[in-house]
Amino acid sequence: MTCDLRQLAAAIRSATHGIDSLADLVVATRDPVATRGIVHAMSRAEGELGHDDSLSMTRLLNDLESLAIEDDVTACCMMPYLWELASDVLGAHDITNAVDLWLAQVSDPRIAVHVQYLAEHGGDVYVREHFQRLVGE
Amino acid sequence: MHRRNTKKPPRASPLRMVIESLETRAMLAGVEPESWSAQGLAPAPLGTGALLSSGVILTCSSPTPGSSGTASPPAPVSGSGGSTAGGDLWLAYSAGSGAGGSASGSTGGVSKDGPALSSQYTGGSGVGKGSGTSSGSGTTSRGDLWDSYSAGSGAGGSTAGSAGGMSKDGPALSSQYKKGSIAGGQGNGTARTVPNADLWRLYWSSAGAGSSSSSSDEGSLADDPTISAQYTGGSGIGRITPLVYNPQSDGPPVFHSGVWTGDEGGVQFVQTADTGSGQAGGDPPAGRPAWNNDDVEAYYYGPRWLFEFEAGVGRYDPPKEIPKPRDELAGVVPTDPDGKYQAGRKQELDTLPTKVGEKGKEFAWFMADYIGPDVIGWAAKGLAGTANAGLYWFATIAKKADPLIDGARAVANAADEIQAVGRLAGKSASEIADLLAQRGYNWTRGSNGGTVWTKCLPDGNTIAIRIDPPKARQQLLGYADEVPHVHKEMVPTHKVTGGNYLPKHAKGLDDDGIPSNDPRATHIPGGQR
Repeated sequence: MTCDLRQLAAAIRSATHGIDSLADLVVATRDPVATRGIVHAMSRAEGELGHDDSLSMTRLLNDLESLAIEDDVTACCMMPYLWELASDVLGAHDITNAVDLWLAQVSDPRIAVHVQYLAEHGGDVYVREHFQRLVGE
Repeated sequence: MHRRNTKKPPRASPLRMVIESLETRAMLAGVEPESWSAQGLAPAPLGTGALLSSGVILTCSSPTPGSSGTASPPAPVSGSGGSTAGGDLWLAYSAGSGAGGSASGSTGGVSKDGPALSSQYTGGSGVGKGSGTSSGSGTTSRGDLWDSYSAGSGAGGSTAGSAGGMSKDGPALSSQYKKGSIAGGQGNGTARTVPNADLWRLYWSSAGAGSSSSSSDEGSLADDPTISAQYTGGSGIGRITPLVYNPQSDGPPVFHSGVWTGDEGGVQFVQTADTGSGQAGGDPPAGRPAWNNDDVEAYYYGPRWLFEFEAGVGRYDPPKEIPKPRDELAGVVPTDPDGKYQAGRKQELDTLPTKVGEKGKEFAWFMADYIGPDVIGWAAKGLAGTANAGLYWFATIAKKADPLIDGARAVANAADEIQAVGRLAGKSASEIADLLAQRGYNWTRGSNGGTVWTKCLPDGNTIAIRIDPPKARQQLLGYADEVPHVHKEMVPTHKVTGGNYLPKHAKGLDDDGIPSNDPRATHIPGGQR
C-alpha cells in the first residue's frame, strides 16, 4: 500500500476529487484493510476538527455521497466502514440507514468484498451480524 | 436493571372498576362526563369507598382482605354538609396487597383520611394499618392512586383535619422489595390545608419509600409538597404527586378561569373567564404563558416522567455516576423540544450531584423541585371546573398515565406491541405522535431533527419508532430517506440510553412489523409534518 491514506482522506475531506486522488482511491479500495483505514482516517480528521461524533458521521457521509457522484462504487466500497463507525454513535441512525440504502442500490463485486470483510471482521458481533445479513441476501 | 413483572395485571382492579363505572354512568346518562354536575349526576359510592362530588376526586377502598375503609355517601354538589370518604385506590399488579384505612368526618365539609397500606410481594402477606381523624368545618380531600406494578409496596398514613379548611397529610410509605418487609409510617396533619390527591406509580420493579406532607393556605392550591424517598438496597424511589382538588364551599361549582373537558382522546383545557373566587383556577405561575394543551400534556405525563426517571436512576446497582443527568432526564422527560419545561434548570441539572447511590434522596428531591411545582400547578388547574369534570379528568389521566389500566397499552411483548401500533405508512407526524403517546411511548429528539419514540416492554425489548425528516442531498437520488419517513425498530431495552440507542443494536422492521434487511422496506413513508 503505497498511497498516503491521510492525503487521500484530505482529498475526500475537501471534496476535491482530482482524478489522481480518485485513481488512487480506486486502487486503495480494493483492499478492505486499506479502505477501512481511509475511512477511519477521515473520522479522526473530523475529530481533530472538534466535531462531535454525530456531526463527524454526517460530514463523512456527505463526503462519501459527494464522491459517489463521481464514482458510486468506490464510495460504496467505503460506506460499510462508515456504517461500522456510525453504528457506535448514539442516534446516528440516519447515517447507517443512508449507507444501507446506498448498499441496496449500488451493487458491485468490489463492494461485496467489503461487505464480506465486515461480516467476518466487523468490530463487534452486532456489526458482523448486520453484514452477515447483507451477505446472505 | 429493570425488573418488570411479566404477569398480566388483574383486570378487575379498583381503578379499572372506578373508571368503567364513570364511563358507564356517563354513557347511561347520555351525557358527557363534564356535564355531569350540571345534570346532577353525582357518581354513586363504589365499593366501600366513595366518589364525592364535592372535592374528593376519586377514592375507593381496596377490596383486598384486610382493608377497612369506611365512607359515607357522597355529598351534594354544593359541598355543604359533612361527608367522609375513606380508602384508597390501589392497583396491585402482580403482588399481594392489603389496605386499611379509616376516616371520620365532621360537619361543614368533607374529610377523609388516608389508609395505611402494606403488602409483601414475596411473603404474600400484608399488614394494613391506618388511622386518622378529621374534624372541623373544613374540607379534607385526598385520593390516592397506587399502582404497585410489579413488586410489593406498603404505605401507612393518617390525616388529621382541623377547623376552617381542608386538612390532609400524606401517607408515609415504606417497603422493601427484596426483604419483603414492610414498615408503614404515619403522617401527622395539623391545621394545615392540603388539597391534593396522590398519584403513586411504583411501576417498574422494587417499590420505593417516601413520605410526604404538604400544606397550603386555606382554599388555595397545594404548594410545595415535601417529598422524600429512599434509594437503599436497589429500591426505586417513590414519590407523591399532588393531583387535583376542587374546593367548593357552596353555590354553583364553576368558579374558575377555565374548565377541563373530556373528549375521546383525552382532556382539553378550555379557557373561560373567571366567574368566581378563582381559588383553584386563576393565572398560571409567574413566567408561564397562559394555560394550553401543552400544559395538559405535561400534566398527563409529569408523574409518569418522574417515575420513569426515578426508576431509571434507581436501576444502578451498585451506584454509579451519571455523567450527564440531563441526558438521563431527557429519556423520560422528552416533551421539551424547545426547552420550555427545562428552562432555567439546565445549569442545575448539569451541576447536580449525580452519584445516585449516595445522593438518591437529594436527587429525588431535586427532581421533585424540578418538575413538581409545575406539575402541581397543572394539577390544580385540572380541577378548575366542576367536581365531576375533575372526576372524569382524573379518571382520564389515570387511564392515560398507566399502561395497566388501558388494556390496549398493557401489551406484554414487542411483537404484540408492534402489531398493536399498526401500519404507519401515510400517517402524519402528529397522527403518529398521538397514537404513540396514547400507547405510552416516550419520545426524545433525534440527532437528525427527528423524534425517537420508545416503549419498553416486559419481555426485555423496546419498540422504537423513529420519525425522521427527509434527508437533504446535493443531488436527489430518489432514495427512500429523501421523503419524511418512519422507522420501526426493536432494541433490547438494556441497550436504550436516554431514550435513544446505538444503530447497531436496532433490528429494523417493515411496516407490518416483520424484521427486514431491506432498507427500502424499513423506510416507511410517513411522518409528514
